Amino acid sequence: MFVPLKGAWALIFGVSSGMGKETARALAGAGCNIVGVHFDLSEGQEQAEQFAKELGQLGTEVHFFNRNISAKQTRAELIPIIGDLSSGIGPRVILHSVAYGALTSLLPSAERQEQGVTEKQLAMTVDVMGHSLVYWTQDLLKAALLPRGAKVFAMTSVGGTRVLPHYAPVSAAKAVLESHVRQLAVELAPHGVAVNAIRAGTTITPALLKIPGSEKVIAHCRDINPGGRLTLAEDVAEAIITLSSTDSSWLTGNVIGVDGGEALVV
Amino acid sequence: MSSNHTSGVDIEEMRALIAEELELPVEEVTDDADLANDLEVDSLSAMEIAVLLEKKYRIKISEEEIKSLTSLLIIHKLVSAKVDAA
Repeated sequence: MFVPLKGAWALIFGVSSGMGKETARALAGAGCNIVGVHFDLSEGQEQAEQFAKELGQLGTEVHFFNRNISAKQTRAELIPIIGDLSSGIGPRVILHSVAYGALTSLLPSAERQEQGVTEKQLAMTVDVMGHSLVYWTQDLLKAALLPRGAKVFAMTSVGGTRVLPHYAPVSAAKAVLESHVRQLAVELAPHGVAVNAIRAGTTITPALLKIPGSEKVIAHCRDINPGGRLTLAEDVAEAIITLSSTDSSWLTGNVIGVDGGEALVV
Repeated sequence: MSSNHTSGVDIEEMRALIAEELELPVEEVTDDADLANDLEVDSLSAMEIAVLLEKKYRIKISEEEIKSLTSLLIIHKLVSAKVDAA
């Protein structure tokens, strides 16, 4: 059954940029209240505050927090707040759209001027971009803030199964994230909660532009995408709104391509 | 150490702040301990320190500057200069 998003709550990790930002805008447009978490220096924080104000003008409740989502104390602080704000119900939509990781190869390469990943870099990247989904889900469930009909989305990319330059730690994190999505989907099925990964096509976001050589990936994907253009963050936002507008939990455990068919022709 | 008396940014207070953030005993955060190599600070912890310093001292730190936050003494110098300039 289709259900309106108006008055429901969404919890968005990575709300200040890219897919998280556009999905927040679309959800707020649909009347959904937003708890957004982002991690930015003051310049980014000012922009995020401005964005939160914009969303608030759409007539929904918007609360942004500048915190490291992978820190235990962030969960300890924010989960009770999410409970209070949503009157003990919890979020209907959870989006994990976190881009914070080491951009390097696994091995040193003089040719590509890379030092190779360190143990700390690899552990941090997989923790922030992968495992953090599990810890938040655990704590939300423990606090009885994962209601029946809730939808959990995690942003993955084609780099989770393919090899891209400078992407090795993030690729590992995406593979981990997709694995967690499958596992959580099965474990949350009895709770009526759906968990899916969204594999967006190449989308020009601040996170993509940070990857050295991303201009080549952008040019290549623009060339081959059967839809004739790159993916926009708005495409992802619309997909998430569509998939969130049902109380069914039967569509679960998938990696859903939102890419105009790009991955089929790479 | 002109930065000490010009800006009034207390290096001991900063040492305690950073030690708390890193969950380390204060004595391990020596003036010259290298954050990455001696104190195992990764880029995410460095970002946490930067966000904390911005808030505490009401300054702005750029992403580029995070890489230069390599020891307490260097951080103190950078923060003092920013506080003085504010």
